[in-house]
Amino acid sequence: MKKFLALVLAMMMALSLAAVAHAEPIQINYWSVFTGADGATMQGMVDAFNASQDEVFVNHTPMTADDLYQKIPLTVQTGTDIPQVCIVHIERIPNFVNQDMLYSYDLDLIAEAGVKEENYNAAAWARTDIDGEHYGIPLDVHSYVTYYNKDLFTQYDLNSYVEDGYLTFDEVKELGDKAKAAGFTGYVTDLGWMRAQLLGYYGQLDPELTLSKDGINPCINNDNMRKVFETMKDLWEGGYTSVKNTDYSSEFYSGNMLVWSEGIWMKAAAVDAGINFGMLPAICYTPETCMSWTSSHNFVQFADENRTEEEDLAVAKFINFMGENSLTWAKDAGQCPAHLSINDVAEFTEYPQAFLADPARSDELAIYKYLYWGLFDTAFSRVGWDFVDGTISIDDALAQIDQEIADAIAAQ
Amino acid sequence: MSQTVSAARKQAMTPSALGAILLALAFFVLFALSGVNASTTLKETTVSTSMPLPQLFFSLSSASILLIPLALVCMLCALIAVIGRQRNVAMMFSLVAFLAFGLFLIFFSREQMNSALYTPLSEALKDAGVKFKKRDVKSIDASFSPGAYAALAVCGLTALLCMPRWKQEQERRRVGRDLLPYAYIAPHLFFFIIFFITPAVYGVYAAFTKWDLFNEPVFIGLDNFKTMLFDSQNTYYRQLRNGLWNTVKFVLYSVPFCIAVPLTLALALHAKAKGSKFFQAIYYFPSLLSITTVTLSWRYMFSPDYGVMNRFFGSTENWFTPPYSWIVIVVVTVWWCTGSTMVIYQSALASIPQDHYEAAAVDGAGAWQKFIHITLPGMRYPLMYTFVTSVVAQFNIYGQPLILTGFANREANAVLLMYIQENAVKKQVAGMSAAMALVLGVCIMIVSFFQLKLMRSNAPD
Repeated sequence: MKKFLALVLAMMMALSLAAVAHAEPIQINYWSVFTGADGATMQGMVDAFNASQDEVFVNHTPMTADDLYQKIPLTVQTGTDIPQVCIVHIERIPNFVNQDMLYSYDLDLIAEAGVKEENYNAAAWARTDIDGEHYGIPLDVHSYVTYYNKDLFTQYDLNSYVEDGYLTFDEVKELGDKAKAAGFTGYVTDLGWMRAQLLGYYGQLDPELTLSKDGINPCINNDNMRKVFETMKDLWEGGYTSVKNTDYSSEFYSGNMLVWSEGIWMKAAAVDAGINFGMLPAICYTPETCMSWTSSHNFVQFADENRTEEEDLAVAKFINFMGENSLTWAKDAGQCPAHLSINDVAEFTEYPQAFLADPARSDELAIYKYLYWGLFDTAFSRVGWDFVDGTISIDDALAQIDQEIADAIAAQ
Repeated sequence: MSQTVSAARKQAMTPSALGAILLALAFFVLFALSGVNASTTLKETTVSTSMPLPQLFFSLSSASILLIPLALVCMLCALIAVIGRQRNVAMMFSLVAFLAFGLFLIFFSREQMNSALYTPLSEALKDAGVKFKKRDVKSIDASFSPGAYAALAVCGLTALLCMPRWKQEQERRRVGRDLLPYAYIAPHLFFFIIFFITPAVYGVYAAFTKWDLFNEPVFIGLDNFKTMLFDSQNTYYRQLRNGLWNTVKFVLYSVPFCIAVPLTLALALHAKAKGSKFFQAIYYFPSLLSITTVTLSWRYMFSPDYGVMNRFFGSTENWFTPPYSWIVIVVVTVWWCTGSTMVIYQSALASIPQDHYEAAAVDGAGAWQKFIHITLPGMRYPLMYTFVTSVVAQFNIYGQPLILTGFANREANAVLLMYIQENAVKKQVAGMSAAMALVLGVCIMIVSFFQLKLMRSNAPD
């Protein structure tokens, strides 16, 4: 009996020691704006990180961007359930910093985990350097580009238009006329997500991407933006674009559209649809001045006085893993990883969006930086189709955008 | 209950009751005059600030502040009860106020970081030339002025003065009898004060502030109202007019159909033809669905490219542009609302005595005459009721135009609630948004007031 008791005691002690030796992993709460297929891809990457080591465990909470931007101010204000790391769009970061909602990264600390400036896309990294501090680590850059239907281009003998890797507005009209003359009855191109299209074209006329001269008051009502609006209206009036409320993605997938302006994130859906497509930068005025509207998903850390340095280091390890393993993000989500190591992967260079990662073409990425991006986005998106179909004049539309932003700034 | 009231009325106003009234009044005075003192030290610089309790209440910067309205409402109820010579009730309310206010003082003092206190302290630090980030401010020491503790003591004293004589059996029974009804409504009352009264009061206050939802609201008096009512160049002037006019248009377009269609269906089902129960279920079914589901389904049906409507009518029209967009919005609304109104009408039709119709038939009345002279008068009250509820419900329209048309077509279908939501949440212009909501609320109250007067004048005796 004594031997039995001694054995039980010994086993209990051994189990206790084992429990002490096996420390609990650091729990990291991670919020992202990835839902649907992108959400599943991101969850797979998070699972891979959790399986790769046992020191840190990441709980991923996906939600729509609108939900996240509504929840975050309330969470930070109340100081409860603030995620240790979060994905936001790069344009939102200046306003978060202005509202004292973000903590800057301790560059020495995150370097210990391998997160260093030289490993990332320079254009995306530089956009989150604010007042000598650094606030965002880019996961990707994602542009609004041009897809074209290779089969239709071959059928109607249009390949000469895309040989140089660019498609100008004049070429779109020419190839449209040529295809229609040959019996094509579908849409030449589309007016889809207008904000992304317009801002790409605006960057081609104003490479400084000026939305405000003093950083606060908007100056959207200018000659360059007027020309962009007129270009869109001209395409629509010429019958080259889809009509209002067209399901443009379905039209492209069904072979009823030659040229489709869309984000690179739709690549996987286009592949699933079985379309033989090619990808180019945004339609441009001239190839020399071509720019595509681009955003970037960034890892940020919101203000939380309770977060420890240990957690910050765990977050940095997670971010580094995501960067080094973002080929999955390029393959399944169609994005262009910001971690430069992916550029050297042979498989990635075969992807249609790879041209966006070319450092020599980084000046083609129109990444905007405006303190009141959220207000601009709402006001700018508001005019949508109205100026195209003449419901509102272009001058009135531009004046309305400036007025709406200025009034909102004054009322905040 | 009536015996209790009459017994209470017979009681004379005692000195202790007078004392309780004075104490309850003193609570409000002390509350208005007391405040919280806060200080923090950063880089060897100490700054301090003080904030009156009423201002702290309007900051809503922590959950414990929600206990303040509970204490205020309970002390008000205690005051009313003691004036009404309901001493037991007054004792109960002042005890709850004592508990709520006491808990507030404890929980708030224990907070290390309160955003309402951080804002003036951070300003003071900046004025003192200290460069810092929010994370550098590790904690804020907060302590209440003596007036706050005196207010707490006053709550306790009020309860003590209203205390019954526990040794008397009759008195104990009366306490039970007096407080039992309040025990039944207590849970509802609690949530009503916290989740209805407080947000409503705060919403009204926010209408007079400039507020970005993140920092503390700044009181600006009537500026929001001046801007949106009189500054014709301002965006919010345009939004208020457009949104309110579109809302009124929608009410005018939809309410007649929201009454006529269910009335017609109820009359048809009242004939009790074969399969009427089946059709009753079919007609009621949309009411069970969420507005998002209903609107998205109809959106596909009206799609210009592949919608069944254009196929059916052989049309190429875009249903989401004016004037067709109003038709779509009204059709969706009527389809969604019909079921619940129809059930009310069916119930009303069933209550009209059959012998009225038989007598009318003997007198040679036709179907139309029966409808005009028997059915409609017999349904007068339910018709007025559904008229009032439909108008109020349609004034609050939001989901249908948002999903079907959004702000397109130069905001031709943008209703006021769409602007209110977008300004508050998306653009963080919460003060102006609250002012717009207040205007909408006042409009609904005015319309409802006249409708209710009309309804009461038509109500059966």
